[in-house]
Amino acid sequence: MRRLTPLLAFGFMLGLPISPGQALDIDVEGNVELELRHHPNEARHEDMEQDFASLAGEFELGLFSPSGRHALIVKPFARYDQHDHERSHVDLREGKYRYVNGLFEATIGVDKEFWGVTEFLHLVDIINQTDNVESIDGEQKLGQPMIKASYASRYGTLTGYALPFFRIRQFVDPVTGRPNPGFTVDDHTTLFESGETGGSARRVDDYALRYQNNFGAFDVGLSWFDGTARVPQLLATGEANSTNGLPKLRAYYAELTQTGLDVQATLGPWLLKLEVTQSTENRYLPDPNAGGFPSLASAQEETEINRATGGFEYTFYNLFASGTDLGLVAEYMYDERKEKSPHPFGNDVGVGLRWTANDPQSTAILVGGLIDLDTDSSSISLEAERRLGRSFKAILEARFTDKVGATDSGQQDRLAKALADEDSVRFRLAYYF
Amino acid sequence: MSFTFTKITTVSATLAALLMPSMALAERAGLPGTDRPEARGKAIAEITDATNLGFGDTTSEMEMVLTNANGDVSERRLRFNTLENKDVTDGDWSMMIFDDPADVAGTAMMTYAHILDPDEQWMYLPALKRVKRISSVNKSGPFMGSEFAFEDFSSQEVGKYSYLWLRDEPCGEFTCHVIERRPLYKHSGYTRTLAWTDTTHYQSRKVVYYDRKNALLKTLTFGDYQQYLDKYWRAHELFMENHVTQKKTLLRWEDYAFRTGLTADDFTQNSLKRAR
Repeated sequence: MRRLTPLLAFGFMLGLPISPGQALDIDVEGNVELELRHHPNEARHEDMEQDFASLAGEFELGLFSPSGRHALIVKPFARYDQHDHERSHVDLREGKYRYVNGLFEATIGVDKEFWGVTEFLHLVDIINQTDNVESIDGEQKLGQPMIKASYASRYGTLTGYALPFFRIRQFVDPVTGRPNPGFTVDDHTTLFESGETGGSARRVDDYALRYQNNFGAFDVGLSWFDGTARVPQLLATGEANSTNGLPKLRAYYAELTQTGLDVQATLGPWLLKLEVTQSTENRYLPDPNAGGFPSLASAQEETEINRATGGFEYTFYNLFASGTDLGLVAEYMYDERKEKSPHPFGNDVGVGLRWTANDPQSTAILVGGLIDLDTDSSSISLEAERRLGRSFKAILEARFTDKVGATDSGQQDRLAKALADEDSVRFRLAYYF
Repeated sequence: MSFTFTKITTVSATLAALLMPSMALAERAGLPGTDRPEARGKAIAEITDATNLGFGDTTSEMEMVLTNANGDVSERRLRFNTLENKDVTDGDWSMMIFDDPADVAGTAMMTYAHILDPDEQWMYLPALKRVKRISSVNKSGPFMGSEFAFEDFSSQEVGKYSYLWLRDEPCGEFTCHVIERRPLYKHSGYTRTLAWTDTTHYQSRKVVYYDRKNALLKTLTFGDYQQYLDKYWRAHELFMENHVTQKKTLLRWEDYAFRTGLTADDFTQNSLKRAR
């Protein structure tokens, strides 16, 4: 982080209460990146592209009072994508005022919160909407407007959230965008449980509560959420996209309550992890006239869903006294609906191998595999990164479908089939300041 | 093998004591004699430890200069906040914040150190806004690509080692006790280290590390000692030289501040997330 005293003038310009001789701490940092993306599989439609160039940048400005009690942080993000107009987007990742007094902390504004312990699937994590166009790994999040109050006593940390706005999940451009999941979603037709439609952000009354504590080797979190589901149910419309003929789906966001538990036991080189959620929402039932997909015409039913994910992480530190580390991650993902679950993690295993060189350039390689135990479908990902010089970082990512399988009853894995032609290689060169 | 080694060093220690009888006269009162090298070694470590007792808390900044065998240089900047544990049977609490290189800026690590139990450690990853409890088994691995291992950074509590006094000998402007230390905690990268402690201020002047095969690995020298609050010594230049790889790391400490008012409230997961 850079502390730029000349920028004090900036504070005066913004009308901040700085008296001469009082050092208001100012932090400025950020990064810009050039991204080149290649999809080796030929496009399903002539308007779909194989090569994408993109520019993105993130900038953070932080103003901190001398006591550290008051902080103002603004962090905008922007991406321009050569072909995908949905992926070209601007987002305020953070824009908040924070007050701290001893063990009490309050935040008002846009912020990001992460809950949970697992690596492949983040079940309990629910505060922020996923930035779905940024990356398909689900790790990138949109800024969430909130009022947050937290108290960290020796009996654990209790945090309450009021979330007055909801943001929808964006999908890649229906025509040019990739990876193309084999369907298109039109943002203008978004449907909410209240019956209202459209809009990328919506005034809501969502609330959440989280308790977190550490008992020796165990780190435990309990969470509760009552609000708009972050993951939409996709409904068949019977319509097709006029350009590429792919089915047009409509995103429906239900009212959801979710209770979650996350536990990590840290035992020597072993990290044992578990996340469990129980959620209740009104879901549309499959419509026999829409190929078994739910549609607006089908009935709604209050549905309780139990999900879990867990596994281990084991690290061989200083492997053969080489100074490098090799970590193994294996996690199982369970949804009681199994192969009928609307997402790809009903009965799956994720395996990862992480090698860190611990060299001055912080070289690291991560290889991951996902296997669907119901259909035997599998996919593989590879990520490698290395710092170049002092301020640059090169990141290479590759994702490809290894096998498209089918269930015992012969039903093909639809998502795996759709993504089979959507392998990708992504190279990023980032400059940090 | 270690048995033979102990015997040899005991003999040389006795020889040294015979050759330097004048040293014994200038000795600190109560220090066990040279005929009890284990007790003497531990007592010296305890005196060193006592010189740091009551420091309260410190904040400091550190610049790290890494030089490889070809002479290529890379730099890092970090800040440290440390809180002394009032319970002397337990370790100190610390927070380490990365400033440079810029791609890791904002990453922070919080440690509750223990004597022989594994330390408790949490890492904050700012890009994901995620606090991750991490394994503290990683003692011997390199710290940020440097020639320092994680265990060279953790607080050197007396109970973490067994001791054997070897000899007293001149070291620069001082006379030093030379002590052999063997780690008692698991997963250390060393069979033993030799530590030179001056007999005037009882501060470390040099440490020589031997790897798990008992081969010479690296040498650490301490320089630019400054005293704070008329009591507490801190070395401002630590130079580690790896004899196997020929790589070097220089740590330059700056802006030491004592008793800044840090409390346990500043070492929670919430404060780890706010660290900057």
